[in-house]
Amino acid sequence: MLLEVEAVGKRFGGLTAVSDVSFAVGEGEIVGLIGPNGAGKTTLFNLIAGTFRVSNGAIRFAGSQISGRRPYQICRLGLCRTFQIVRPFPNLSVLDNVVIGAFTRVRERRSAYEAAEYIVTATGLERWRDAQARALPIGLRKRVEVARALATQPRMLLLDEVMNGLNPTELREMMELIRNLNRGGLTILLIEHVMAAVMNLCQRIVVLHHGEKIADGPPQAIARDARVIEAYLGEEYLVE
Amino acid sequence: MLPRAAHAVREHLVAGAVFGIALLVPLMSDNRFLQDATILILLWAGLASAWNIAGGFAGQISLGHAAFFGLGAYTSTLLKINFGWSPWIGMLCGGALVVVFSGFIAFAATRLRGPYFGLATLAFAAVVQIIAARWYGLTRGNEGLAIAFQPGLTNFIFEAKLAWTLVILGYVVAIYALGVWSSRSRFGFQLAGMREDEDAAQAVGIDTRRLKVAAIALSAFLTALGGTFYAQYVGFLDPAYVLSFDVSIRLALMCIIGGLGTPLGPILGAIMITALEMYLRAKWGGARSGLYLIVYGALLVLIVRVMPEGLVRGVPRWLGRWRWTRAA
Repeated sequence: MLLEVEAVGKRFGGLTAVSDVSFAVGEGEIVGLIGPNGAGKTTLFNLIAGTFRVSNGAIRFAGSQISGRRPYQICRLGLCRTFQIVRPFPNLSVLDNVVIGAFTRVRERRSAYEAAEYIVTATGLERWRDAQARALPIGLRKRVEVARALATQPRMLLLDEVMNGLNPTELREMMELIRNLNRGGLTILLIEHVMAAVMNLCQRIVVLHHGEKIADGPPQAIARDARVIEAYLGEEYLVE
Repeated sequence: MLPRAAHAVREHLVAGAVFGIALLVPLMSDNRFLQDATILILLWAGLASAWNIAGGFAGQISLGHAAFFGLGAYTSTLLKINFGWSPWIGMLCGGALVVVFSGFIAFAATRLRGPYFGLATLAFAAVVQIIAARWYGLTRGNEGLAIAFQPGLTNFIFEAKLAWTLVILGYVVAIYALGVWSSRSRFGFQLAGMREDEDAAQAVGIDTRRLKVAAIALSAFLTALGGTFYAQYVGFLDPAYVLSFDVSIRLALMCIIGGLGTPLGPILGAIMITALEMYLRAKWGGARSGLYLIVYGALLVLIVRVMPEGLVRGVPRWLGRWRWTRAA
């Protein structure tokens, strides 16, 4: 298993945001993390990415313990995240955003630019490469963030709601991008509320509710799971 | 928008012209005031460029650089007076000392963001000023320290204004070159990322704590070198001036007026502010004392209002607009 989350919990004072959650993601998988608002999904991401310290439990990535390490170290180990509220570097161009990601792996300016140009093209951003990131619409800003994360050459990506708020075209493009990245060997864990995308993309889905894991399985099983329907989906979801 | 290379070349041309003119002044003119003004403007340009590494490139707005400036000046001067060390060596000792202090502040301040870092540096400078004023046995307090005028290369004192100009010009050109290199290298890109969004920078693998300490320590080191130059050139230092809040503010102001985070900005800002101040003081300083400060303040507010992005980016924008309206 590439990522192993073992009985991880996080308490903020008296509030338990995540309690004893365990799951694993294998190399090459796309796994979805779903659940109602406040279920602890983003907190769990912050624990995995090192933004928050775990209160208990352990997280391992590619065999080494990452709980307790700092975000930049975890990124350098090959686990990179995007933010729910997108945070591209606002006053820099799209290309420069990606170049900064690329500099995590290379020292030379020329190779950083080469790597960044390649990723900008591969993510379909070449038309906007010189535009300031803050001037772009939300769909493109999300893509810039994915591109910047890719430039750090991750083995695994954590995507936090990269498909929310996109129009149908943007959504289709983003799904295509994620699927292509996965075909290229990248492991992906994504938080998402857009059910059509989650059911379509993911090989497996983990469901959180009140900070606890209530289900873990393939999309068809999740869509029929009584607890998931009650907690989140509301009605039986038909998987095409 | 101009492609990256075009405006970089234009900025190098402006910088080259400034350095060239500064070198010509002592060669072509016998006017002592003009020669003196050139050296002081270059000193401020170098100091502001040093401040810009922390405040501009790294986004760590310091309000306490007077402490690094003053510690540099005092260290070399005290080593010279008490132990007879050459100020060139004293200069490096002062630099090393402020690297320790600034590194400590930067490290302690890695949890302080935005205005809190500025306040921490402000407090540090205030403490240093008070200690320097009260520790009479070491610094002679507010009486200040005078440096005997004994020209000589090892004494870091020259008779010819040309020699002073060359030394300070070397200082400014070196820091400018460092700024140009920073804005193109991995170091500079990572600084830009940290300035834009610290959390996002960490998420893409940047060790922001180390980077912040490095940028602030480098900035402080270069500022201390300028402090030694000031002490040697002016020949006198006291806490009320070299450690004053005024010095700290002036450095920040020069960078803001000239253009934060650009290699050329602090140089233009230093020329603008120093020249403006000298001119106004000469014109109105005597008769109606205080009036020149009002005019000075009003002009600064006006510049910031008209060109909030600074001269380096603001002037081309205004010229572009003017050309565009004429063509239309």
